[in-house]
Amino acid sequence: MLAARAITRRFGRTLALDGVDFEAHAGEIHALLGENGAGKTTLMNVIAGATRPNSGEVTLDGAALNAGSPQEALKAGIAAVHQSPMLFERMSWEENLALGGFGRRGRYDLRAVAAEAAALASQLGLKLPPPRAILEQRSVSERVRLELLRALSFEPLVLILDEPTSVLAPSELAGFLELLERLRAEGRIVVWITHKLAEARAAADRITVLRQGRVVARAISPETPERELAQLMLGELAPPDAAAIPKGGSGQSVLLLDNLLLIEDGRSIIDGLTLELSGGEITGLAGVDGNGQTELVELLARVRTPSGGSIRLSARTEAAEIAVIPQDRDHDGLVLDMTLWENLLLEPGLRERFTNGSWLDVAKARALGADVIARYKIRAASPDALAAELSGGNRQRLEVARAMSLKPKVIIAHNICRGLDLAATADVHRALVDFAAAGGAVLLISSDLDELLALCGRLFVISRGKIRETEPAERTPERLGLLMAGAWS
Amino acid sequence: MLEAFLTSTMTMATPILLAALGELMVEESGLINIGIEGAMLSGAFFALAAAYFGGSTVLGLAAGIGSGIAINAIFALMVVNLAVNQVVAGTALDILALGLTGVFYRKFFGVTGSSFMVKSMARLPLGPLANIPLLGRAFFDHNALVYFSFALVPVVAYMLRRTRYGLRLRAAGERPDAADALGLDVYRLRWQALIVSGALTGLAGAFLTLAYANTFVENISAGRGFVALSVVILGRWSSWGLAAASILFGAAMALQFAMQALGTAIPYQLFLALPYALTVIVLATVGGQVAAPSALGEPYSRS
Ligand SMILES: Nc1ncnc2c1ncn2[C@@H]1O[C@H](COP(=O)(O)OP(=O)(O)O)[C@@H](O)[C@H]1O
Ligand SMILES: [Mg+2]
Repeated sequence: MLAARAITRRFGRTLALDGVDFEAHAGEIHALLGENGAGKTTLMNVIAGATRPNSGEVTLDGAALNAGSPQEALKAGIAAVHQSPMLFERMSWEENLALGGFGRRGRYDLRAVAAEAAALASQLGLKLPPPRAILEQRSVSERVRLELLRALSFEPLVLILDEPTSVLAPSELAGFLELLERLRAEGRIVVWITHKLAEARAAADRITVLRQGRVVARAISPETPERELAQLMLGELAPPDAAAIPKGGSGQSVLLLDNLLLIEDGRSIIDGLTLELSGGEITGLAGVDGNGQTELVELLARVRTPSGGSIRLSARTEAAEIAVIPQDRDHDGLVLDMTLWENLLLEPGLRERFTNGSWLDVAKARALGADVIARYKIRAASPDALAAELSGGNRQRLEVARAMSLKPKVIIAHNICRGLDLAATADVHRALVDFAAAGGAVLLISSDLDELLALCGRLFVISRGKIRETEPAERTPERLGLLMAGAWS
Repeated sequence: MLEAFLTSTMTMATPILLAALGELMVEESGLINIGIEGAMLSGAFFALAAAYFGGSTVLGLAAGIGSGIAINAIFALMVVNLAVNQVVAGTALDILALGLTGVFYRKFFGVTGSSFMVKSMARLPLGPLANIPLLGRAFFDHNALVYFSFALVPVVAYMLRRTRYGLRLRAAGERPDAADALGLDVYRLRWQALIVSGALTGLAGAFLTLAYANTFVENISAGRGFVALSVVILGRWSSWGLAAASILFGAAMALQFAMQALGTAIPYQLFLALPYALTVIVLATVGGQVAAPSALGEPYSRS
């Protein structure tokens, strides 16, 4: 049995965990459910030895673990898969796995590591990258699978997964659940951290709910109704209703992608993509990761140049009026060791607005920061808080806020709510809907079908760099799943 | 003439290569040690002092190694345990070593300026290889440290790329937080790299006084530690690249002697500046962000 007792952990003025008790038994999948910032990741880090608590202790089968020692936690059999992958991006995947539990005995040999990994991966139905592939060139979901594999290589008694499904494609989910059930059958403990109610109810044996650093429901049944769980997670706040969604745009074209081509190493990544965006509408682009979405976003952000075709702005639109919110926010969108207001000023349009001659108007920029904190409900002490101190949901709110502050005509958003909890998702969705209702054009690129079906007027599917518009009759999760899998391309 | 140039190239390359190989390990573990110049200088001083008063080259080498380790241990304490800014700590040690060795030298050896010579390290010709025309004398008739430094190149390459230990060291330099989460002791790995590097840098300093100048003058390292830093960049963080870059810098220094000896009309100070100019050009053009360890120079402390 894994037990954490009276765990308290402070970060400066933030009380991340406040006397938390947590218990999970051998042979169960235990969901740890909570809003963003509830303290789930901190609790995981304390259990895995990565963070030292201010007080309290962790025991495994009655033996107390040395606080703040990842070595000892691993030795005792506790392995964690982190929310943002803890991987060595510049190394090959084999080297990453060799730093885990693979190929630990005998001579150091990466081929032996690869063979051991392949054996485990085929048991689990996971696919491995080609030999010697460097991680930074692999997709996010591939990286998460590698981290999962690395954690399993320790043959852990306790496996803690921090929001693993937020980066898995819907098609990978079934296999993933099967894997967890196998671990449970072997008598291991799986702690599954999530903010998705439905998931926790479907897969877990018991659920513990955290809210603002406190346990508000301990080891309750997964039969607990969704509404009740939502109340526990959010407190008095009921989950926000979907706002009125504008369907059918104003017809005013703002951006035209005309027969766009991107060819790399002889492979076509974007293959004759034609798409028109008009104001007053959210246009959806559904697809499984790695079908050209990232590259399309980079083309639109002008980080890359197309091999053919064109990106045309309507007469009244300027390039600066396209705001892009990329998916990998820690890498592409925010500079984590800058403050909140400095991150706002990373946007050239905003920087211009707060510059007098060659002087930065820091006071005004701070004021914008304070305004953004209030308007987008960002949980931060002040505009001077570092982006690194914000939780995932708050970082995403900051990115959306920055895009909106520019007063753009077009927003390109890629997997914008990945990893966000209910409240943050609803806030971000509402911001997009309000933007569209006010006449803006949105391209929402996502692999989350629920989100796309709820928000989008027109919906396209992308597969292997080609896109296709869906008919209203095709807009069911089953049919869209098939289309995303490339049943047409 | 050419033979003398090649011989001198190898001699000049040796201390740079020794220091650069040590720095390579340190940088792979995620630290940048500007104090390397100070470690080399104190290695040079204490090696000479021990060899002069103890009358033994071996004693001198040991003292050089010991003082290099001591300087790096201070650096390790500051940057690994106390997370002091690495550039600040390194610069402080450089200044400290320059001041201390200067003061000690005047104190121990007097201010008369009369030089305190030691016997130069013995040459070890490598049997018949040393008799090859032209190349024999140039490459196979040196003292043990020259052979040692070049023999170290494949050893370090193998250690970094082909051993579990090398993988862990690189992990600490790539993402210390992830290395930590996997149970690696980042602090210990970085300490180890700094101790080994201290030994090699101290040895490089000892080479300057015991095998090259056979005496000590103030600031005898004359920027060779900084040259070693740029050799790591020019060599793209690969041991073999480091060897090639060290030879290049060695050749630039040797060329300066050759030109002086030839007595060209060009002022010799220009040739003196050659290696330093090369360093500046390398740092300005090669840059080197692509091959550098990701967490290079960033302070890390456990949460
Ligand atoms: N390293 C840190 N420094 C400062 N504050 C932190 C740090 N880690 C977490 N926090 C704060 O602690 C609270 C809990 O965060 P976290 O455990 O990440 O929540 P969750 O995983 O449930 O979203 C948040 O308010 C967060 O901002
Ligand atoms: Mg979290």
